[in-house]
Amino acid sequence: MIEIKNLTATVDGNEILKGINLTVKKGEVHAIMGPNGSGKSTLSKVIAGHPAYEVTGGEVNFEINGKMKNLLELDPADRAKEGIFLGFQYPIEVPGVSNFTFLKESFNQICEAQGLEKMDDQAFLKHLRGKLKILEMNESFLERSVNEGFSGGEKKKNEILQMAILNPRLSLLDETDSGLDIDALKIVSNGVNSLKSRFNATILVTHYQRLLDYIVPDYVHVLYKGKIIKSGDKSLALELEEKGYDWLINGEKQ
Amino acid sequence: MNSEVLSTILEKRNALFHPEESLTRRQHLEKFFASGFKVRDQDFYKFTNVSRFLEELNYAPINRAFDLNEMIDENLPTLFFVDGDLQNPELKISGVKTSLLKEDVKALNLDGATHLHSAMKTDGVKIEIAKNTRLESPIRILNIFTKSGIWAPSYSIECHPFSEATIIEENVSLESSYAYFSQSYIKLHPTAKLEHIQIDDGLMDSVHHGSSIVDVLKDATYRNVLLHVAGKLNRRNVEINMKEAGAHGESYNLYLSNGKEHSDIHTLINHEAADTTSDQLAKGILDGESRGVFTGRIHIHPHAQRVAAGQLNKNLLLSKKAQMHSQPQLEIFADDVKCSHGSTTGQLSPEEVFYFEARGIPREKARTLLAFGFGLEVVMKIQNEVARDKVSAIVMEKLKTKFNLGGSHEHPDK
Repeated sequence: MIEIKNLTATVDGNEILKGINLTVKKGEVHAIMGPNGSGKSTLSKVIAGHPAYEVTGGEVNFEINGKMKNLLELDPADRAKEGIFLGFQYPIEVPGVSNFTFLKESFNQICEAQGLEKMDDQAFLKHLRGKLKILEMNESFLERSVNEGFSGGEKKKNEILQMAILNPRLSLLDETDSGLDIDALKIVSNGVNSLKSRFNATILVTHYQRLLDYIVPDYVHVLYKGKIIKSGDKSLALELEEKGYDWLINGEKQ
Repeated sequence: MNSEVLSTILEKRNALFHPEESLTRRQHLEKFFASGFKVRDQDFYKFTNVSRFLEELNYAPINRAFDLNEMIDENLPTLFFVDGDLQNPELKISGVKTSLLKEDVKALNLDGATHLHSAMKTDGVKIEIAKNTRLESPIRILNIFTKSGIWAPSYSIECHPFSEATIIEENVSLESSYAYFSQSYIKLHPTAKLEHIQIDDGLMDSVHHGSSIVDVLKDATYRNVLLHVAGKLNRRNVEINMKEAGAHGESYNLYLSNGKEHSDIHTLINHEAADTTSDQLAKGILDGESRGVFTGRIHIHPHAQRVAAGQLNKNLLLSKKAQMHSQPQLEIFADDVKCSHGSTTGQLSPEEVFYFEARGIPREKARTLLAFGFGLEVVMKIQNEVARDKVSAIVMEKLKTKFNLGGSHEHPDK
């Protein structure tokens, strides 16, 4: 579904990604782990098209209508319309724009891009109610301004609510577990798991193994200094939990 | 519109007046020419050269046909002014008395501007809301400009005890270039409530200059929502006097400027009595090379104890060349008061824009929604639903069509 080849990227002139190679197929869940500052978040932001990051080399190809297309040519909104979803580590607070308006605008943009009919307010509200239930969110969230005054857990739930509404083909979940207590973690994980299918894929960016108990990855990659230095299956995450990153990093240095 | 143009306009009008009045008007115009827009308080027009804007008006006499019937909105009882002439002085609404106003109203002493108003004075209207009258539908004052010129109406609004009303002042221009100088005096008797919405909208080639004095008596509430939507120059002077205990005044402003527009809001929130309150919020969205000025003076008199007054000015600059001048002025002469003020000027956050884009909302649409969200706080202060919906639509329309933010999803710009 997505092929990343030798991707390099900079922010403010500093090279953060130094040659990433990663292929993700439909139906797969990949976890990207690594110590702070290794480039995990950068990778997900570059795929989503964050303007602060400059791609300096390599390719990102994404399957669109059965063909691999250069994703880097698309602006961020068009990437989202083609089925890329970035779940933010720090969801943005937007005063004055209601969650309902935000979700509806977003949903209608995606519907339009995919040739589906837009929904009117009533129909969309019905559609939303089902998704709110999965995430154990109260309907009052819809009237509130986007993320304004939300707790950490509420913000993350709101991200997964957006994901549920937009039904993306590739979800990049950036530290979705941070700031969640164990109950919220379960709800959010259930939400993500309920959206999994053989047609979509997920890339989880995370520090900790904890999330991977709930959302089980098919592959685990360790990112360090802008490169993937080790890939494996879910047992790699357990090994990292036990031994930390040092044994890998030291191996890299030698 | 230079002195020659102003003189010619006056000579034409004077043909219709009694010689005595013609003379008085001519004298006022001479005094205006002598003083210009100078006032004793030298900072009063510090950032706004009204004369220059007036001279820059591309004054060209035009005369367009139009149909008043098209302007009628069944849901909005309206007093129509066409090129300064009041068409329907008597509105038929129970509990409301409207009439043609010929005499001057109590006005701010602005020297030059006051002389210009007296020289160019056109029809005014007096609106009285009777005791215990509660109006659900707003009353609209609509100025329609079909010719180029200068119009100077006076408005007198009096709200009697236990009345509740909403009044909307609005302009429509038909490609004419014009200057609009209004003077208003508003009096709220004890326990009256008035929501007063003023929308300065028009073509680029227009100057709107309005001054109002509002006296708020015991336990009465005055809410002013002032919108600068379009115009070469929009300048409003608002003075709200809390005269007796329990008086409450609200001043909410939203200025939307692009191109070379200049928007200037000058307010005085005057607490003359103890146990009075006020709330003020001014927000600006500035694009292009536009300039915004906000001067907010809060004056609390020596015996006005237990006053609570809050003021906030927030501005959003959408371009590098847009400028904002914000001047809060607090003059507090009583010791037991709660008074707060703040002012911020910033830009749309790239992170906010990216957040919207990452959800499939194109950049231009994202910026429009975010700017609208910024302005919405002021719009939501309007309690009357009809008025709120109307203002909300005007704000969205301006942001969509005149700001360099791009199209809507109904009209994809691809």
